[in-house]
Amino acid sequence: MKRFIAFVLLLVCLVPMAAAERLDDNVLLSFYGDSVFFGDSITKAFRRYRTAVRQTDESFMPTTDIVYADSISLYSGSRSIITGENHFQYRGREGTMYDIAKKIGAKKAFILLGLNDPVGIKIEKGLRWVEDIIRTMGEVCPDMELYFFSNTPVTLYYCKEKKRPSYPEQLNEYNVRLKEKCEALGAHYIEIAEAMKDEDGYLKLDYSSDNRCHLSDEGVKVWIECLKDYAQEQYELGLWDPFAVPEEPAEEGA
Amino acid sequence: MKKPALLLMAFLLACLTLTVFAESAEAPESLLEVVNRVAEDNENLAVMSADDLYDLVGVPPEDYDDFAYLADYDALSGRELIVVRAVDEEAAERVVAMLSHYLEQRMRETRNYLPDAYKALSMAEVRLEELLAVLSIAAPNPEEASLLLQEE
Repeated sequence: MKRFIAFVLLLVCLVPMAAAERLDDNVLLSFYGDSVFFGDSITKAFRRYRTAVRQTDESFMPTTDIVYADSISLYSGSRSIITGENHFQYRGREGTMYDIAKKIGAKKAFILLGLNDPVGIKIEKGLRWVEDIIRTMGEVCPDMELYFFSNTPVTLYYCKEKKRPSYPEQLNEYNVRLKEKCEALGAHYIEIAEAMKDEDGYLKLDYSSDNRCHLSDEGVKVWIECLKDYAQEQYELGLWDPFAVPEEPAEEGA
Repeated sequence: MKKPALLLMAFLLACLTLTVFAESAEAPESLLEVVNRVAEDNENLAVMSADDLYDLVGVPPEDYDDFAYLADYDALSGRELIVVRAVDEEAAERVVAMLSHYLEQRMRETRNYLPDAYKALSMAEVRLEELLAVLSIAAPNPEEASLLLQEE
């Protein structure tokens, strides 16, 4: 009997130890260090939020570049040439996302595009453009990891205004297919949309700055929570070690 | 012997205090302070950083000795105010070129997307007075840029 009690006590003690500890927020966000985010006006909200936070906390995502262009589509973003259209800008120069990622020397690129196409009603085309991005980024930045965020939800008002009553379901389908595409082609998919939805599948009004599709600070905070959750998951799966010491480059001739 | 030493110390302390007061009285306002005084809607605007000025607009830190960059937080109205004091005339030319380029880019971004912002951007212009460059977009007071240039 004593042995049994001792065994139970041992188990009780071991269970909390077995669960991986939740990493510190700054450690989790270091997953997104030395990286670049590409996006449209939704990503612009992210950058403005980061600027505001960094005014009092300089440790907040210090080595994440955030590059956006208002109204840029997934199609325009996927192109590998500069035309007269809307393009990304970085430090005063136009560039494709491939040029910019290479120039920055990013180890990871995170992409949120599709609202302006809109991909919900152009699913097949959207996935082709994603395929183009994965292929071209692989050629230009072969050592970089590529991540796609799920497309964020829209409000009921957006659906009525744009006369797209089925848009939430269409977006859901796109996101499912995007995840499959990423998995098939060696890119990664990060789910951020579900946490922003109300019970009917629309973007929660608290998370929207314009009652359409743009994110408020509260919405951006949810996005950041998703970023942290994803990093924690990668840590728990053993796919990311935030404490690993970077390898020294091998000396020439060695 | 002690009295003269104490008097000397008191004299030196008084001189030091006067110097500190004089310096603080003469300290010029930063551009952000000037902008906050002139821009009527400054409380509704986000204060952008030096990183934003470089990454988004293209003005590198070595080209200016002070700046103020405010923007509509949601960025849907097009409202922005960028004031840069260049380090010299050559830098001022580069700053004006970058601000003009940025203005064109913003117009491309909003042309088929935010008609009100596009209209405001179409009416905006980059202005330079000596080393001070100003880009004022969608200001509640249309004289905002002139007022800022007069302050210099």
